[in-house]
Amino acid sequence: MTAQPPRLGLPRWLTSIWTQAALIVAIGIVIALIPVVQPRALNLQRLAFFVLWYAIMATGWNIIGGYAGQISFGHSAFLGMGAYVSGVLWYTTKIDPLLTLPVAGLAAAAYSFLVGVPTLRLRGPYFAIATIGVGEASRLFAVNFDDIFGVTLTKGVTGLSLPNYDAETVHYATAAVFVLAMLTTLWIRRGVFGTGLFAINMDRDAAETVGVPTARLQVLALAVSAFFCAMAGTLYAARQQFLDPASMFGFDKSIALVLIPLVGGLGTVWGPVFGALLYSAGLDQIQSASRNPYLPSLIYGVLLVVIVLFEPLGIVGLLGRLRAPLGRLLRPSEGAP
Amino acid sequence: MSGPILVGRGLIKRFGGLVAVNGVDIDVDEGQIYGLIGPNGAGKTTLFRLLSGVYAPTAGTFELRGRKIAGLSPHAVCRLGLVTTHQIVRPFADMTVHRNVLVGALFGRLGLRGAAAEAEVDRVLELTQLSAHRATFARSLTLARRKRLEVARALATAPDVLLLDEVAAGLNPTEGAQMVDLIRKIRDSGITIVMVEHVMKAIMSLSDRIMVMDLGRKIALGTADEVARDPAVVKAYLGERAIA
Amino acid sequence: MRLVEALISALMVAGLYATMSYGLALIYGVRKVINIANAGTMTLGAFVTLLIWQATGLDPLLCVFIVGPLFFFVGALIEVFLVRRVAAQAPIISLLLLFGVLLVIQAATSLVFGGDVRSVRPAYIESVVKLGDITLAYNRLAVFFSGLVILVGLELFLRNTFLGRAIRALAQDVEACQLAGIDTKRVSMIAFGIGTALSGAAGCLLTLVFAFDPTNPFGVLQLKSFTIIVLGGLESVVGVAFASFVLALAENVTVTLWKAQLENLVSFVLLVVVLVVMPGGLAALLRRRGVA
Repeated sequence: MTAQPPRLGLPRWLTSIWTQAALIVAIGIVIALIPVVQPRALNLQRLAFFVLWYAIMATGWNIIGGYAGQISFGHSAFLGMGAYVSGVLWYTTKIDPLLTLPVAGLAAAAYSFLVGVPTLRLRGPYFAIATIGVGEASRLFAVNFDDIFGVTLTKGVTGLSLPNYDAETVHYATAAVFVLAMLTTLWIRRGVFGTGLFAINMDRDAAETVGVPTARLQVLALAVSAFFCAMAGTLYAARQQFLDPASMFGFDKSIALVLIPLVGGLGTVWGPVFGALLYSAGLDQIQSASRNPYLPSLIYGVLLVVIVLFEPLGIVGLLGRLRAPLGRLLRPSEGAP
Repeated sequence: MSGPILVGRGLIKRFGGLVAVNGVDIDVDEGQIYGLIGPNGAGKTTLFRLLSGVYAPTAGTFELRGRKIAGLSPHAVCRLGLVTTHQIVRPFADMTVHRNVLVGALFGRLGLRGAAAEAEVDRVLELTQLSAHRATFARSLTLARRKRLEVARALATAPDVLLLDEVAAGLNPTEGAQMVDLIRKIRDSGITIVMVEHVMKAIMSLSDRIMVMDLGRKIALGTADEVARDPAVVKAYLGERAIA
Repeated sequence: MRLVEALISALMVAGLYATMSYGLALIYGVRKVINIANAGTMTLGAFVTLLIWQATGLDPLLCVFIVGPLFFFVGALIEVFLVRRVAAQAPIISLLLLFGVLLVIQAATSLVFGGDVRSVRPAYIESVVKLGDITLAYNRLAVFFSGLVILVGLELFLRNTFLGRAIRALAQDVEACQLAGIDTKRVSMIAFGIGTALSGAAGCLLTLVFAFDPTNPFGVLQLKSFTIIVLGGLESVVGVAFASFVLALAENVTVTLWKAQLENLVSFVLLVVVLVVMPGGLAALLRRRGVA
């Protein structure tokens, strides 16, 4: 399904894991410097935040969806989980939300374990359908949490208002999490773990017979995936200071997380970043230009159809077709681990 | 050669009311080629799947070098040194030949890493005569090469025992002869082979011992000559049905 | 008495659930893909019904006879130009493709009709029928009977016509059908067309019961219909009808005994549980027990 492109006969150093890692860190630093260089460009900062935010989540989604080929329509469950864990801890115990980043990540990873162990036995479409159920059940659970347990923690549909927090600090943290997510996905893609996931993607039974512990690798991939989505949730809580189930656990977020890697390039390292750029920045532009809230959705739907039919590797695939040096650099290489 | 490496006792597999394998004992000596034949529906493939961990037996035990493996999942069985190829070849279609084999080396019994894994891949590709195609995507290989790739990927897991499920089926005589050569070479490298085959010529010339199955039971066991003369075997193959 | 009321109320809702899920089962049978665009065509069906009703005052129940044939062509086109092209690939690819179709239909519907909540309210919408102590809303009764009629019609079609038998055969074994000289492409196209027509018809019926906008409440119903066909065993029309009743009853019981807000949670939890513990759905369970 994730057709890997042929080698392009590039110099090894260009596609080497070290060059790519350096590129990721460099991009992270450049983005982190935005508030320093342009302290008053609040719109740019906001845009940068949302591009990175989507990129982090899509990168996470891509590890289970793109690498292992288990398409999830319910990843908002992990985003919401992270956001609410940090949010609730913040206003009940006054712990700085950025300090709870790992807590949120681990909580969602644990939740993903609970959900993943049974559902990941399902194949392709059945897993996808089950995740829709997981996502919606999580949302309804969040809405009714206080009722069910007789407490006042999530405040149901009303939403959770949180204290103020310095946007600049969140910006730096977001850039850092982005770099972490990208380095992780690069390392997985080039390593033994990623090779195992791709083998599962192509033929789970065959992978199992040649020694790939398919169940364990998939559960692990889902956990890593959930970890990053949850950290994105924490970042959102700290920046927007308001959480409600409809936006954090929303099906629209789950949809976005399917669309972004698909449009960018399923199963590639850079695909989710391109996808996020197009989704977040593109969304803003189209919406403000046309003043029509439905146009972006229409465009993404058409894009999805076109990509599935003609270019399974999305933007990354198109860039690769250009045979331009840039495109070559960005294509996922058939490198040895 | 030394004693038995694979020992199965009283293996039974039921699917609903159907008994596919009905109380089979199996002893495979180390370094042998052990053939498994029988008419369609005899239970050969089911027995294979029991051995490789795809199915858990309804009853019975199965040991590899004295370690119980019945009921383990396929990847665990593989890591203990027993690996199987699929009757219908299942390469990782969108991976190169090299990477297909690498998966075996990385996740097999030895769990090789880095240069050691690469060296093992090179060795196996050489053995299976696929070196020239290492950068080819598996989906564009010919059937004969895909069958060899299936064997290569299994070999890269460094098995003690290799189960071959109809690797010669669908090949032309030249390709079949190549496959027979390959299987001999693998045996000579010290790997025990259990094979199911419909191509009689291949299995009769290769096997040290042959088990004949019919309707889920073992009906004969011996060398190729012995089983060929066994009246029960002749009856099962030609069948009372055929005579009637 | 409350038990009887709960049962009847579940039956009414079940008629509605079943109508929107038959098409899914039919399409799953021939293409082995869950038509995630079902909700989109259902929504579109509801809006077309609204248009017709506003323009001519035609009863939504009668709109079925316009929307059905119209949507047959929509479905057939989707099959020929989109689904067929990826049929040889992994099923998840078809799912993603149909997901794209869903987004397009929903966005297009929103663009044309706006995001407001709409409803169709014919004169009889408030009428009730009294059966002894039990009060039944006329509109729900009508929807229930429509669902029943469609079920009977579908079963007759699938069992007694050549085309119907071809569709059932295709669901069983593609290769055997090709060997038997059945034009599998044509049969797939027709099945997809009928499936889509059914979702359009479900849209007509739903206008009688729910207010609707381009995304709601069809999103929730979409998930319910997934639960239903998974529960029903994916391919069986009777299984769908039965599963619809089971789901409706489970929801009813949850709402009565526990919390009304949890109504929707029931189907999602059921969906995951059924997928994981009984992949063949109720149909397989019944077969194993030797009942069906």
